[in-house]
Amino acid sequence: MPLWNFRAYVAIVVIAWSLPGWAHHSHGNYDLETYRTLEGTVTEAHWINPHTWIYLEVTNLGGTATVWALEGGGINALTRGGWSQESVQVGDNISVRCHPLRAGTPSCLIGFLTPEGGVEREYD
Amino acid sequence: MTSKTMDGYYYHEPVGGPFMRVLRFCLFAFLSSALGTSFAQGWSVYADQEYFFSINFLGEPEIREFDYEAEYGGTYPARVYFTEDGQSLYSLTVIDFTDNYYLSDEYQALPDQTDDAPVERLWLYDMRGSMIREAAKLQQQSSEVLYDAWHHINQVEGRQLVVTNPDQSNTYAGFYLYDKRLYFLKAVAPVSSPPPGLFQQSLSFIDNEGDPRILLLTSEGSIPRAEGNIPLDVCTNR
Repeated sequence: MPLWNFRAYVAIVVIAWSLPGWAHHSHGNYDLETYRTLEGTVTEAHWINPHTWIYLEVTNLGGTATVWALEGGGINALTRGGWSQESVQVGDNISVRCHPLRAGTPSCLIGFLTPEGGVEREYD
Repeated sequence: MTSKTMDGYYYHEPVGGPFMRVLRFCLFAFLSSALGTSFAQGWSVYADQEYFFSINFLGEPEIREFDYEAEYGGTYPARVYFTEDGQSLYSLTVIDFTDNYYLSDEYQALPDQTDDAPVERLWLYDMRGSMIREAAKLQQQSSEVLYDAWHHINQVEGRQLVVTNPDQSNTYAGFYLYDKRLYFLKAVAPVSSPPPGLFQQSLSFIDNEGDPRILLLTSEGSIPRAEGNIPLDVCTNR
């Protein structure tokens, strides 16, 4: 392969790699400087675009249960990250590290997820 | 026949003929399979190529048309898409400012409330002011504002608003002015329900082919991209 061809190939790969993934929406409604850890039981799992959603029942130390709505990445992004629709199922016990909603109501933007019997990985 | 919507507007029914209903259903079914679905709990992607949007709905929404009376006296066609699940309510209202209504005799006869010379200004004021007007109405009906900030979807500028209602339910709203239409989405969640981000944050603007349309956010606002659209697998990557 001629040298200029190789350089062009490398340049194309580098440019393609550095292209941004266009966010579907602003994440300004989440507190991105705060990570909250939540652990509980999955009550609903929505493998849907433009974002997947997991509903997680979390019980606090006082015994009160609250269902949290957790926003995950889009289907394409999660699939590229090795996740599938079967990765998180209703009834699973999972934990997440996520950015809470600024409104103060129980919703969170997932950064990392630990599936039942698995290890923590990015879920974005 | 005229009835009143849950938003307090009056609408005419029904919307569209049998052909339009079949077309909508086919589009709904196609996009549900193409874009990913959550049939277990009944959530699916609903798309409308007349008003160029897609959004997640619990089942197929009911659709009602009504006349929207704007702030400066103009009346514009509007449509509300909605579903209900117990005490939870999900609605998307589209107010259509795209026609040449301001050229009509009815519009020309409206009193000028803006003290601007060209009568076209009323139409412009009606449209540009609609987002703040609807957000203000929601705030006035609430007992507490939990969140109120600038937002964008597909780089279309808008506003998100979360309020607590007098009955302690929460309303999650979003307002986006896109291509001379106001898209006003609202989800009411009872106090015991999780926030309905699955609905509130699922709106997308689409093109003639049904693909998401991403604008370019600039210091002058949101403008169409010179290079055209962005492929689906890129724009659904957060």
